[in-house]
Amino acid sequence: MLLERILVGVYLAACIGIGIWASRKVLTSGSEYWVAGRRIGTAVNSMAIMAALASGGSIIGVMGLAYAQGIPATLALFGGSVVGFSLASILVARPLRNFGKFTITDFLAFRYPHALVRYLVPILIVIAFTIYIVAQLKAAGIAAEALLGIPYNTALAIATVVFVIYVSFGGMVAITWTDVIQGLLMVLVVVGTAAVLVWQVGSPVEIMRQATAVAPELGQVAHRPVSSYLGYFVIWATAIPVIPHIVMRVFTARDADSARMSLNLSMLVYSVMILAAVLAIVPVGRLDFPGLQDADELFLRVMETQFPPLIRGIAVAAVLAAVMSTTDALLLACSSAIAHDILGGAMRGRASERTLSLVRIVTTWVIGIAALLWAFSPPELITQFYTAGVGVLSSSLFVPTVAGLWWKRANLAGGVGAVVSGAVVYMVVQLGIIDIGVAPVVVALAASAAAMILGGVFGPRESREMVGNIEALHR
Amino acid sequence: MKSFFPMRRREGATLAFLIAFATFAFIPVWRTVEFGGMAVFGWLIAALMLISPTVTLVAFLRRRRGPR
Repeated sequence: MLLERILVGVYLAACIGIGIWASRKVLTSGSEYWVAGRRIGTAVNSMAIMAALASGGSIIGVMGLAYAQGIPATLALFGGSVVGFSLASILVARPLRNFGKFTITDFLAFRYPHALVRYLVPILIVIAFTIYIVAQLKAAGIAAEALLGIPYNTALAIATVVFVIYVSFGGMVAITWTDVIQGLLMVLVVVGTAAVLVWQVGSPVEIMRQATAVAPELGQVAHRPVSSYLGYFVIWATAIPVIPHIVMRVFTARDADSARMSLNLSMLVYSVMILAAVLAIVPVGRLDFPGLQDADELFLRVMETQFPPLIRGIAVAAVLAAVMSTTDALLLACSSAIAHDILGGAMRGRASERTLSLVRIVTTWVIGIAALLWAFSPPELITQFYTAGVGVLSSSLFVPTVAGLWWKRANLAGGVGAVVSGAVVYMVVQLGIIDIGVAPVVVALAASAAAMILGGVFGPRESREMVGNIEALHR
Repeated sequence: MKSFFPMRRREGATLAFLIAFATFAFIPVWRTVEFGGMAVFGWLIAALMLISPTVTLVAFLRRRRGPR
């Protein structure tokens, strides 16, 4: 395993190097740190967006989920993400980029100026993203354990220290450039592996036929309640337009057109990668490894048996890349929720740039270490786990964001009601306190929309000044 | 419709098409009908994953080139 370890070591060293290089630029201002000075071009941003979304869940998790729960239900989840990008491109990219701040909280707190929005939204982001980060760390740990022979906890600690270093010091510039490398690496490995398997068997349809002849449940969905996979789809379709680590990438774009172009290009690449994984690698893996205890190990087992050490080393680097490219973006978004949205608001005008820079670095380390401690005892099926966390965000943020950008009657009462009711209803239904047999996110979005409409119709009309401000964002 | 900020017609049509396609894919009959070993629902969502970014991209590029 020496060769694999050397390859991964070189990759991790390169990430730290990029972080140190970027720190010279970004530690001097908030704009440089959070949104890379808004200078990121379309091609670079496309790959960075793809890498930010394509997490450990998109390599390890997508195959584990398809193996355990069937391909159609899994595609519903990832198809939701892809449709979500189209919604983001049409509904939010232009006005949010024109708004020109750093975070989704900035917009919501501007549109609905109330302390509840200013503080509740970042708290929800921190909760949901810490869950998301833990799931990513698990993927890094099992990949390193399976293919490098490094103990799970040691691998977690190494990966965490590396990405916390380059995020805390390099900010969005470091994340962007590491994400580009990481995105290329994971597309190469996943699509390349699928191409080799298809070449060996003949065609994707033949692979599917052979696998479903032995394991018909792989292609079935009828045994599952509609609410489960409809819920997956809706969660991701509504999360993408408001999920902070993607929204921050919209803010890094040169202009609104570049932001929209990047969103669409990134999704084409992402779709090809997910389809290659699910329609080629999973069926072959199901044939070769019929009784896996932990379904999330599928990809690694396939790599172990099908490829020589050099390719396996690159594959581990690709899994780590997938994990780190998402985790770094999540960590920055999580850090921005505390350092920019909460502490930054409280300290505005009273703290020097040097103090704010220190706050950003310390916040990133605290969140990284907290997630690491939780990841030592990880949950099963990582994709389901973090999807539940993301559900809180889509339930509470989608309606107030989209209505705030498009509905002239959206007002403070409706906005606050939509954020609170979406979050509360989602948690109540998701935790099983009330079981109504419908996907929690569908109920929560309906509650959030109802609160927005009631507030907008019966509450005070929005000021002309605010309507004029929002109208300007659409130009 | 004065309660809403105006959306460009082409983008509105793209949005409506995607919602209609997704709704069609989730029609219950596609859960039980199979093709190539997989429920048609799965194939429809796979198609949607390629169609969605493509049509949004085409609509965006045509808007940039043509009149608003």
